[in-house]
Amino acid sequence: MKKMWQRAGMMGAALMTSRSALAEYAYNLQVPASQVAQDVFQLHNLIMLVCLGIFVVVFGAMFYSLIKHRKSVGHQAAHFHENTTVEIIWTVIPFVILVGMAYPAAKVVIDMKDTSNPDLTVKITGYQWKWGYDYLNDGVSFYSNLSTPHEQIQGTAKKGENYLLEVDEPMVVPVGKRVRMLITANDVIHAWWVPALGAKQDAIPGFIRDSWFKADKIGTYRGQCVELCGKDHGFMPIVVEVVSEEDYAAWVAKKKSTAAVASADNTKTFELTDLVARGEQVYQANCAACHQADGMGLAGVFPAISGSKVANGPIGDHIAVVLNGVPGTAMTAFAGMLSDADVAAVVTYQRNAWNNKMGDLAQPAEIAAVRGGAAAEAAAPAPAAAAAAPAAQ
Amino acid sequence: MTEKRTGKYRTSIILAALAIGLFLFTLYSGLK
Amino acid sequence: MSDAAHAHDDHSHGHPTGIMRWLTTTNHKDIGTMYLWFALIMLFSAGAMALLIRAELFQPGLQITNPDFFNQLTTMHGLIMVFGALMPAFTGFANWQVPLMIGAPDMAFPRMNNWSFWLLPVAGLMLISSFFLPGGAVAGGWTMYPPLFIQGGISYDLTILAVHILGLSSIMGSINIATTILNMRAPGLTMMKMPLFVWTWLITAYLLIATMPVLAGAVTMLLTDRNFGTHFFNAAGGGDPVMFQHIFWFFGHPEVYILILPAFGIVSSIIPTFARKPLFGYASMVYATASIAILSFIVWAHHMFTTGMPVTGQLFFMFSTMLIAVPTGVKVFNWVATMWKGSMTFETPMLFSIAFVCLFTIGGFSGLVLAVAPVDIQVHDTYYVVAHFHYVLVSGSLFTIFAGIYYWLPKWTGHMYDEKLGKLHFWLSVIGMNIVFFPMHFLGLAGMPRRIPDYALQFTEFNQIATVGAFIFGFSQLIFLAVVLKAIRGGAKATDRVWEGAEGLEWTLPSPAPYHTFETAPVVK
Repeated sequence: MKKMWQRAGMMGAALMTSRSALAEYAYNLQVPASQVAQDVFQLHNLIMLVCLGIFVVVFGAMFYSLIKHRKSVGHQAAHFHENTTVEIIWTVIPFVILVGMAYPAAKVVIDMKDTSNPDLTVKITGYQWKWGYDYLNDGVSFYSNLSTPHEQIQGTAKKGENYLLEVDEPMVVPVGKRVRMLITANDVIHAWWVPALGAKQDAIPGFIRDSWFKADKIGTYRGQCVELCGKDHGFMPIVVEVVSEEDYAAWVAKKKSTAAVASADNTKTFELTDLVARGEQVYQANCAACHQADGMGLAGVFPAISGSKVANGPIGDHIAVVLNGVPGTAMTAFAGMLSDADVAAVVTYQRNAWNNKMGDLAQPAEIAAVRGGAAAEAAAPAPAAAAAAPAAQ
Repeated sequence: MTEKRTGKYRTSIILAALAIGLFLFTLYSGLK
Repeated sequence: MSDAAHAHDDHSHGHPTGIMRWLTTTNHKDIGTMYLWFALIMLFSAGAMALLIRAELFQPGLQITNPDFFNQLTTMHGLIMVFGALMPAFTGFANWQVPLMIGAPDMAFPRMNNWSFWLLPVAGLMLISSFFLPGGAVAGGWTMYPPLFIQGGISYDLTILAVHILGLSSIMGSINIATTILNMRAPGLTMMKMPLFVWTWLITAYLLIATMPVLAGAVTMLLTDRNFGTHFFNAAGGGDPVMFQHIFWFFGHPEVYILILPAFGIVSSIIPTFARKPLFGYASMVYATASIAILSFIVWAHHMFTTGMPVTGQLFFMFSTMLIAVPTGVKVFNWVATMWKGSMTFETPMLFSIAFVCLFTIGGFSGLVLAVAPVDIQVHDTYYVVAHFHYVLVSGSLFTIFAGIYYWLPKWTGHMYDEKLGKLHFWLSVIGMNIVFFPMHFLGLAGMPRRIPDYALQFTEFNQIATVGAFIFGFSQLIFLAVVLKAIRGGAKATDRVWEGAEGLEWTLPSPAPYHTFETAPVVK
């Protein structure tokens, strides 16, 4: 008996502290990795204790009554049916309890909203269906896509440990630094959330909202999009890698050099086979979600590219569709998202894959030329436009 | 059938006016 | 079921029979019956969608649906349950019971009553058929947020039309109910003598009249943004997607009280009967209900704590939302005080009512957690919210609908229902419901988002438990259908009073209640 109570007490304590002893059956918020997350964890514990207390008192009374005040045990009904004093008491006491909870809660609200004095500012953009990160201080930009292979989702391959919570390019930040996030979206409302860091903010197209976090410990923290944004809402996770300051500086340097290499590609001339190979990768990462891996689309929802008029028509029009999207549909403008080299590659791939056998290709320089002419007309919201949107509230 | 003097038409017209007014006000506030 | 009763009439109207009877009826009992049958059919349709959802979520990975179809299922499950099942069911109760409880011969506008009902199958058909349109049904969530809602195909426009029709039905029904209560009470029945069920429906009717037009405005703006080049919710055109959320939730929050106030009324009728003791604190209950209704208009942005509101907004909506716990708590205490020192028996209506008091309170506690903005920021758009609203809507609204049916079915049909089957339905429902929804609190706290067809591995165990519970709960509802059909066809004869402790005008009538009742107003002391 005593051992049972001991174990129950330990379990209760484990649930209340931030180190849950029951990893598979997680009963509480995630282990906090920031002061804000820790504050919220404790606030939630407080509310739960209060609720538990009220529940025990009220339903203890009710269950007592159900047992004792039954006709079948011969209890006769009393006739009282009102008592103003008691009504006042059980109005005032809950009110006082609420005030007691409201005060610590208000402090956390104010703290969460204070985005001043950041050490680092990152602009985060939600897309259908990936995240874009722009480090405004360090000049690093990249997209972050789900990297779980399709076979794992379809069930033909064993699921990895971080199934659905892994990306090709994580957001890297230094430990112990205040990171201010400027959050927006390119198309529909998304929301950025990393539970362990205690930060969640809706990403609203055309507006910038800010939020912040300061990670206490080095580690990898995972989150997901938390605003329904279309079919792959469940497939655009967030990974934040918190590293030492030195590691962060090294990462920034590495990112800058890969960016330099990539932009150098935009001036090169490529062979057809290289374009097709590269284009297939670009297609898988950016187009397959809607147009499917086999290029056949989804009947009534997303058109097929295999055998389509666009992919089998003038290459200039095909390039324009990729760059500018199709207004009034879900086809986004990829001008802001893909480099000249990537657009050239994916257009070439599409024209030479599946049932398409055009045999032609596009070079990065061609894409740049189309951009130059179309720039004045392109009305689709690109990341550059969002940066000029109204300031954070 | 004699009409009962319950005031029900007056009540219902007031409520209907409230409903229509709120609908129009919502649209108007969206335009601002 | 009133055909036998019809024979009692001495009028020789030449009432139509068969289909024409139901199409043209202006009788509040017939119309109430139709509302309830419609609600039951919608409950099973949306319930089937829920079972598909839970089947997909049994394991990580995509097994039986693709992500877009999954979103259609979650969206339509929500729309149909709220607008097709719960609201019509409560309106059905209002139709049957309000005239009987106030001693009126029928509703204020019997023909408008007929129209209010018949709009519903039209809207229901639109919603269900939208699955078969190109692009499938709406997949943007029952909350219909733009800009996502602007992207969808033809079924989105059809759904907006259906919402308009549902809204029109509710508004007409509410005007009817409010006018009936205000203008057609029997002499001597002052407002503060009305049964609480009548009070809760009066207040609900006001809420509906105040908020459904706002919803209509919001979806009209969606329609014009989609089709006529307006940009109410499009930033590129100078609009604001968050404005939709403000307008929607200005409707949406009172809507959830619309879904629970009639439930409060039903439970306030049942508990005194089976405790053989008057409702404790009648006046407080009236004031508490009115306070809840008024407060419900100033809390809407607690659904929007992550949109980026200024600090003052967060604080205001947090405080006002926490405040609603006070009158709600008062009601719970009053129900317990009604039971206290009563002489209770536990027939099926009472079982469901007791379960309601306990489980709805759990839903209330998770609501309090959600009211605290910093905690909400962590659990918004996760399964914690799904747990909360299913506790208040399933063990809240739905259980009281079951309770009310078991309670009044003998009065309506003249037959006692099968008590053994009723109790079986109760226990399977209560146990099943908790197995589905309690683990969802943990899933939300652990970080599982809403509206996703596939999830990370650490969420597997609780999802599996929830799915098992869903199938238990879902199939148990077939027992309810059996009980209802059985009671219509036969059973022990019900007396006028039916239940030993029952008080109120409806229990002065024979069972089944005659087709026309209170054609001369009763005198109420």
